[in-house]
Parts: sequence; structure tokens; C-alpha cells
Amino acid sequence: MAFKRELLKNLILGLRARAEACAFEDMSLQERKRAVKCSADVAMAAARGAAAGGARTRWPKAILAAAGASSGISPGTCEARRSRCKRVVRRCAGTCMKRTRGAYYAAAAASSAAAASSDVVARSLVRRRTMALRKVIPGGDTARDEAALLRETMDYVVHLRAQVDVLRRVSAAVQRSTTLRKTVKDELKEGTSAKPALYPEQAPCSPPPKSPAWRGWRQPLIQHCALSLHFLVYYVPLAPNQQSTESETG
Amino acid sequence: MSSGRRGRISDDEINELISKLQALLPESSRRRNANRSSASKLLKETCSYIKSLHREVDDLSERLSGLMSTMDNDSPQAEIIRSLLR
Repeated sequence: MAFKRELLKNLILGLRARAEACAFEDMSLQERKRAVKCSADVAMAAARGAAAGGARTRWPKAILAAAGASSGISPGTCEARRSRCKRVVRRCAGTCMKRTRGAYYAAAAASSAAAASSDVVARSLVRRRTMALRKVIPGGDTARDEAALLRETMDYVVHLRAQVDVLRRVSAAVQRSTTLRKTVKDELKEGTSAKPALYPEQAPCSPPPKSPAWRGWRQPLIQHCALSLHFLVYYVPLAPNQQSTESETG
Repeated sequence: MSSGRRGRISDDEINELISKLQALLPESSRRRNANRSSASKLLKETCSYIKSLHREVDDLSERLSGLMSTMDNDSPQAEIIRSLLR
């Protein structure tokens, strides 16, 4: 839960920083999607890096390094963080790369020479799958050995699932409150009483089907809308699923 | 496996990690591999699972980016979020 909260916080900060650097409306659909995805990945990596045991994992640093390298937008705070991460990754990669690649291929060659034929087939299959896995895990190609790669994989899968969950909830919350806001705004327009300070002038949108019951509930509804995200983040118990994500991400 | 590097990784350790990894995969693939914990099959399942999670993040990013373009920075939601993070 703490990880998801941290991820959410980083995600929102990251998205706001991007929007301040370049308004979302000015981006194409693809650029917008890439921006959101990158923010989500950086948020996940930063949250993992800050959590207990995060320094021992490689994938967060790999993600941050890749994001820093590819980003054209550089808001002040993010740039400092990214350059720090770049330094960390460069240092780590420099020492690790020569050692791991050489050792990995030497071990692979030695093992294939010594084994019987059916074993060779099995091992080569495992090796191929392992290479595929290395490509899919960020920073996977710098993993020391198979055990380290498997540990990275498990850590990455757990936190990737949490990222998916957070993104799903945020999308749902934004969708709900956007719909609610439009409804309330239209009701307020109709009422012609003084608008609450919360709602700035916006372009009119098509009114939803009117219901008299809404009028009497206007004030509590505005408050409900305001609280809905608050509840989402802090009070909605994150439902345990089959894989017990909760106990893993804490 | 030969040890050309510091520390020998035992098969037991690898098997333990593999079974832990299997526990992480979705229920459906776990049932399929119930009887045989073939390493290469498991690695393949893991790869596909991670790719499917990546696709899901992609789709959700697309959805969220579409929703965000209709949300303005001064909206009450943004104000709430700001106050939550202070």
C-alpha cells in the first residue's frame, strides 16, 4: 500500500511537471500517451528506489536512466534527479558490464561443452528463454547470473502489477469526477445562483439528462466529488487479489 | 552450471527461485504448469506475462492521457491532489 501511494504521488507530480513544461493539449495523441507512460514508469522506478530494498534492485535505475536519456522535456527538479540517476547507472554499469557479460558467456560456453545432448537442448532452451527475459526486464542484461535475474524478475513483476493497479484506479477516478463535475456544472448553470469558487469558467458541454433529485443534493455532491479522490487514495482498501499483491508490495 | 564467477549458485537455489516465480504468475498459467515445473516453460510464461502487463500499462496510459486532456489544471481535482501531497 505504501508503495502504491508513493507511486501515485510520483505519478501526479510527474504529470503536472510535464503539463507545465508542455501543455497536454499541444501534444499529439501519441506524444501524450508516451508522456503518461513515461511518467508512470518513472514514478514506479522512483517509488521502488526509495522503498526498502530498492537499492539492491537494478530495474528502477535502468528505467530512470532510459527516461533521462530519451526525455526532451526537462523540468528543473526532474533534471537534477535524472542526472543523479545517470551518474549512478553509469557507475554501476561500468563496473558490472565487463564482469557480467564475460562471465555469463564463459559459463554458458563451458556448460554446453560439458553436457550430454538432451541436456544441451534443455539448457540451450533455458538460455534462450533467459535471454528473452533479459530483454523484457529493464536492466536485465546487466544481471549477474540467473539467480539475480530471477530475483529482479520477481521484484519487477510485483511492482509492475502495482503500477497497473494504480493507473487503473486513477483513470477510473478521473473519469468519475469528470462526469460528476460536468453534471454538477450544468446543474449550477441552471440554478443561476452564485457559483462556488471551486469551479472556474469553462467551455459549455452538452448537458446530461436532468434529474430533479440532483438539485437538493448539490452541496453534498460537490463535497463528495472533492472527497472521492481523497477516499480513493487513502481510505479505499486495496482489494486483495489472487496473487496477494498487497502482502508483497506492502 | 560452472562457477567462473564469485559464489556458486546451487540448483536448489535456482529451483527455489523458480517456484517462487511460478507463485507470482496468474492463476491460469499456474494450473497449466501444476505438475511440471519446467524451467523454460516458466520463463516463457513469465515473458508473456510481463509483456501483457506492459500492454496493459500502454492501454491505461492512452486512456488516462485522453481523460487528462479534458481535465484542466485549476480543476477541483487538481486542487485536492495538490492538498493531499502537501
